[in-house]
Amino acid sequence: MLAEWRTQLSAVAERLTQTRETPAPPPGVERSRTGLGFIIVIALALVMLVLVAIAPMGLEEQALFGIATCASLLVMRRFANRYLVLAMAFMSMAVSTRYIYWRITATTGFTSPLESVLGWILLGSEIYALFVLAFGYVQTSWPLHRRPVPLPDDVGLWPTVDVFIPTFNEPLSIVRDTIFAAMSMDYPRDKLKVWCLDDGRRADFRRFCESIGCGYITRADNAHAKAGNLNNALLNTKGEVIAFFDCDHVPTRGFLQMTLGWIVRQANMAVVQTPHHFYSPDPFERNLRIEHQVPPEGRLFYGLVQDGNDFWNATFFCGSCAVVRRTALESVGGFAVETVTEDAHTALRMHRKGWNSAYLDLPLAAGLATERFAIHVGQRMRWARGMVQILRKDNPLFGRGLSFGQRICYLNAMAHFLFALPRVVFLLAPLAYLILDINIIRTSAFMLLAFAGPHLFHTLITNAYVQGKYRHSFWNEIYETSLAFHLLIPTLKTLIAPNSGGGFNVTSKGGVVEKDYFDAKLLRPHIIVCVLLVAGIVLGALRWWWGVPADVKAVIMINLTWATFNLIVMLAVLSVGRERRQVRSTVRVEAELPATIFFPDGRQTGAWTLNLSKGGGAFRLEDPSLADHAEKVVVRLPCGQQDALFPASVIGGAGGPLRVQFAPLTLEEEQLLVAAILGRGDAWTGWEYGPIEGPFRSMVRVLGVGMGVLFSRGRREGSRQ
Amino acid sequence: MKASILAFLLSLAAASAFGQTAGQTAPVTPAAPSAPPAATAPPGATPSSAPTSVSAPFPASGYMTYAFKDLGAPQGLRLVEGSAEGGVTYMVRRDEVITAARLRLLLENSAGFPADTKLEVTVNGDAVGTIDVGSDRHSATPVDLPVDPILLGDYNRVGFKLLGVPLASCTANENGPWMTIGPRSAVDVTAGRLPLANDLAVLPLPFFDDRDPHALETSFVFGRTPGPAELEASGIVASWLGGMAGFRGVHLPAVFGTVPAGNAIVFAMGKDNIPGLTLPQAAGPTLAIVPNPNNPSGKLLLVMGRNADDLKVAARGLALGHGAYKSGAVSAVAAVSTPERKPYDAPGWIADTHPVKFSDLATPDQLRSHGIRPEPIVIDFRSAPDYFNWIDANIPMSLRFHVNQEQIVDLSHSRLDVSLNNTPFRSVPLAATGTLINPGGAQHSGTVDIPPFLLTGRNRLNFYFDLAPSPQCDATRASTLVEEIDPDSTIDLSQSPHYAPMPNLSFFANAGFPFTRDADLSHTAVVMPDQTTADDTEAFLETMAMFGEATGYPTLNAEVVRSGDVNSVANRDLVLIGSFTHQPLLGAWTSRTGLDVSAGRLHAMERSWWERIQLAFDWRNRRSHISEVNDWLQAQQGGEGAIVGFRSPLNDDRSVVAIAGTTSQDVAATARLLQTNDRVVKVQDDLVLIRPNDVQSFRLSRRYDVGTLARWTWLRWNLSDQPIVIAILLFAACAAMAAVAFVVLGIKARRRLQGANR
Repeated sequence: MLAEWRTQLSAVAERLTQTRETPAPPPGVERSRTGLGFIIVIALALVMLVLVAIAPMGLEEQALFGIATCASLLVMRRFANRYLVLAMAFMSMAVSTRYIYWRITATTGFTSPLESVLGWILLGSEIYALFVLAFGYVQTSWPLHRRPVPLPDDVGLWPTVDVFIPTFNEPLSIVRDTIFAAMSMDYPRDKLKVWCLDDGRRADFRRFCESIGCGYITRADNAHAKAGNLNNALLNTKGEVIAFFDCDHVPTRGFLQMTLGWIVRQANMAVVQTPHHFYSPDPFERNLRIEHQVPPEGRLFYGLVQDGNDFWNATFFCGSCAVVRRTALESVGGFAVETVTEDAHTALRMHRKGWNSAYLDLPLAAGLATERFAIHVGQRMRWARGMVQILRKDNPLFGRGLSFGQRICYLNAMAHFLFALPRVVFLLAPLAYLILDINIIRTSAFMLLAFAGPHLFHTLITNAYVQGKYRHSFWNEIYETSLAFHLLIPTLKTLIAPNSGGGFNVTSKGGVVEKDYFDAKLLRPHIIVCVLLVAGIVLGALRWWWGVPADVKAVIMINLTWATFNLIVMLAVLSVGRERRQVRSTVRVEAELPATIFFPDGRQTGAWTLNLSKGGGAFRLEDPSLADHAEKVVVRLPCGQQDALFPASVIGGAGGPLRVQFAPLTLEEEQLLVAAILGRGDAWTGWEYGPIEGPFRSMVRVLGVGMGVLFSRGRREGSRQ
Repeated sequence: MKASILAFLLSLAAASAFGQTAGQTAPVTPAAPSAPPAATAPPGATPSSAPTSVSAPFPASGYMTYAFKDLGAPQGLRLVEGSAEGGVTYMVRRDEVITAARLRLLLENSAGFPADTKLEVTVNGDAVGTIDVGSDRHSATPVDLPVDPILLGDYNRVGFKLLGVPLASCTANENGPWMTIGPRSAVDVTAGRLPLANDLAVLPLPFFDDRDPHALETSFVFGRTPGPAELEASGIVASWLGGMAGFRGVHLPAVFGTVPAGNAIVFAMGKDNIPGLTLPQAAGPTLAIVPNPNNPSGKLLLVMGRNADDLKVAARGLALGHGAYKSGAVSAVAAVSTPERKPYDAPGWIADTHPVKFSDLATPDQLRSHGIRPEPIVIDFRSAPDYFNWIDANIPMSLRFHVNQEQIVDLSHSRLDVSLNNTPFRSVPLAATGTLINPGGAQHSGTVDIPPFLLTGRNRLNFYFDLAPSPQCDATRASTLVEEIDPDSTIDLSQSPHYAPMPNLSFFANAGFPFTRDADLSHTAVVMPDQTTADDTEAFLETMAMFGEATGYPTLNAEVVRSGDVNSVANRDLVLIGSFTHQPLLGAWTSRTGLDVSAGRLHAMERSWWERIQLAFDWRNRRSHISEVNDWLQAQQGGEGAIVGFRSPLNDDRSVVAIAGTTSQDVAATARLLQTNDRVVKVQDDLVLIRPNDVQSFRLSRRYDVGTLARWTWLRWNLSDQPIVIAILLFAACAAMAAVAFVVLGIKARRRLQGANR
């Protein structure tokens, strides 16, 4: 027997060496053969994956299979590289498809109409989740990590640029920073024109713009809201490229230098998008006190999704912090007015026309995050409605001009906003058993564990690896749960009747929260579900305690675990609704800039800024002794290409850092100060999002955040700056 | 052990050969040879004495005991307040007359009955005695009641009734006082043998009488060691007897060269002669009945012919009847042609080509039960054992039933419990089923799915109406309550494919599978050792009887070969009979299953590394009992019997079942096990080891599947036990997909960053 083996092996080896020695075919032949080879490999692999998905197994077999796949996943993660991550994604898809196939074929033997209805709703939600998982893997399969390309040396080849800063009802105090910074961008003066597009028709805006030489465009009505405003400005300007900034998005001086390179290099490049960076904490960061520890909500989209979209040429315009080629906009008739998310819709149309888009993951502008949770909810309701409108009116799956990848990426961007119903279903599902005592998954508890366990494990671990830098495990659940109840009705309504519902609502920013309060009205559905979950958990625990057979205990255990997880997420969401005090109205950045302090007695010292705002700043002096007893000083700061002097009065600093308040500034001084604080090219680089947390540590943090709502009633905002 | 009993029986020249199968019923002392004749029947026996052997003008057939457990009360009888009646039925053989009888009752009762309670015992309605049921009774001493033989007819109802307590009521007081009549209570009779004419028309008498619940016992006589031709012929006759005996079982000792006492069947071919017996000349296939020269009350059935073909024609004629032979003492036998049989068409098996109505399986009476606490309704049926058993492979049963007076039943608390082979699998709430109101009652209908794993070859469906009385219930109305399973209810096997993992000896023990797939065993060969002993032959005959019992059809086309000729039957399923030393194929073949019999001793071999790897991947079949087998073998000295199932080394689609043992006696004992009720529970897996009072099943070899499935089902089934293979498939596919994706996406990404448009 052994001898036989040996002969066979040597025969195989011989054949292999022979193959290696055959002369290489001509290149053309090679390529077509490679292509054919790939098709054969894919076909074979697909057949194998189908077998994997459908192979029916008993409990022991499935448990063994699950353990084998989970263990190998952990090994793969240990040695992960780009290739292994792709393999992990395929494995995750296969395991989850297998789970869903099993759910459909083996767990739907419902015994009553109510059970059927609830059971199929849950299963439908799981199928939706499977599709979103698949789209997500496609979308993020190869983040492009595009770098900027320099503008040509010949300035004559640089395009003329209009900067559009649309505003409706925001206070001038916010908009003026943006205008100042936009006007300070490094670009030939004759090729740069900044426009304030005031739909509020406010006299002080007009006066301000005229006083500093900024363009001012307004119109008689507010037709089509923001899209109408932009279209109106398009008619009245003629720059080759238009840079868009929401009125609170302050660009850095290098914005155009960094973004326009790709526009110049590629004639069909329509859009170069950069991330929306926020220098103020969003409601999650502020109310949960996780700023700089957990990546903010938008980070997944701007860090991973748009970068992944770029690979498929599906990065879409997000309304701000982007440059767009005028001819591209005009080729689609300006901004789309049919939906309330004109930016994405317009981008879709440009892609249909064959235009290119690019994404640069560089924070080249920064803005204010929404202050309050309620405002965040309102903003997301608009986005959700808009995206669902596009899904209905201009579905990316159909129609001309899109590649497969573009269709998937756009579809996922839109389908994502349908998460509300599945999310609510997942939240309430364990209650079907715990409160109503009906089994909406017709199988034994152990079978469910054996099938769902690997599915959840792969989804969790693979996503934790793919998204870890941008979103920690379980935060998706928090973000979605916080919005689900409010998005449920609007998205469903829009899905059925895309033109129903309200119009464009402007997200208000720059407000203050005077004192801590709990937004009970907004969070009413969350509170109700929390109470239900607690009731379900108590009922389940009682039933367990009263003594039931072992198999029933297993069912109770699964549902209790599920409900408890939901409750933890719910508590975290309730914490978001507990608004914490935010009183500072001007922005203070922590930056270390070289400065010089001049004292009235003529002495001066070098210094480094500790923090800086338009009101004043703190400085670490090279010679601290000079600060004693000084009342008035002059501060020299680097502002763009020049330095500028700012008179200021000392408000503290004996023994410590020198803290000063700037004297009232002229417009020119203010522009320079804005350039110094917000307009620096490196203003937002190196922004800290906190270390990557694995699923376990992330769970602990979520648990802590959720417990916070129960136990930290009296505590005040901490000392963190 | 068997031989000694046989010798003992032979020594009782005048005693009946129709005693009992050894070890099956309570030990019974044979009555002394016939007492002097007396003119009249005596007035009866006293309870304390053994039944007097009543003189009769007939040769005494013997003293016989019929235990209640063989008379339809396997658990005995239990009487309680409100359900205080019961009984058993005893039938008298057609060729016997009862000369004396008594009831021997093993009674127990609790305290708590009213002081004047009495147990009334009746035979065919006539009281034969009353017994005081006073304080509690836990005595092992039987109560004997004499029965005047005049009271006895062909069919006799022995009734029991508690006097002084309510016979029927709506609420049974299960916790109240009770009385039991034990299953070993018996009807003891002394019987005289009626003379039978030497006429073939009386067949199957005296060999078989369906009124006799005891095992069928008759000797098979050969002039010399039988060859394949005689064995094939005798096998056909044995299977015919087995088919008639049914649940009773058979005992068919083989005798070479002598004529035993009692009834026997003699096979003679050409110039065969048997000492002490004058054989008529056979000019062709011939059957004859002659008196046993050694015993005037015994009969010999002669199966004769000039040659092997004649003998087989005679045997076929005997088994098939159909006018193949005429009445009279001797008859030539005409060749009977039989239609070619299809697989799975055994007449004893429930059809699987269409839904089968219950009316084909039971009489209307059997489908009815009475009262508010009815006896279960039982339907016995035989089926193929190899229905595909897997998820969603359920067998639909369309069930309809009636309860005639629903107003006295609390429907919301009443259920119909359905079980198959003692496993309850469905409880139908009466209130929830769809009802059609009939005059005076309602009809319920619905579909009940039978999980196929409950279906063995021999099946007992049990329907129990678990009824709760409503407030309208009263004893009178309750006694008129009738529950009925509609005879038009059906069980439908037509959608169930035949596909099963083999070897599975429970299939063999319960249904003779896989050999009985063809009812005439047309794809079966029996391989006998070159030196066939009487015990080997007995094992052969009883095995063939078992096939006949399983199918209800004689083994017309089973082939018998010597072990040297086995290659001529390579395309058949094989039954291997013989001891470890005399059956050479055992040693050559069982090593494939991991058994070693080379030294005449059984031994389970350790696995090679290659087999272990195979077994590790064979997830569903990974269980293996090597050490258990060896422990069992070493636990005791002495020989053992063995049944081994394995895949045929000659043909992958065929199976082998070996009936083996250390000695020929062990081989016979092994075959005898297949005639007992033990087989149903104790014969399983692929190896059964047998010692007196110890039967154990083990699994040694890997399984293989027989049968056909739809392609999709086949694919899924074969994937289902391969978790490791599936995991490897998954890794391979993901590795391949990721490799392609890595290359293709990498090229695309480079192009995109180099400035290409798409």
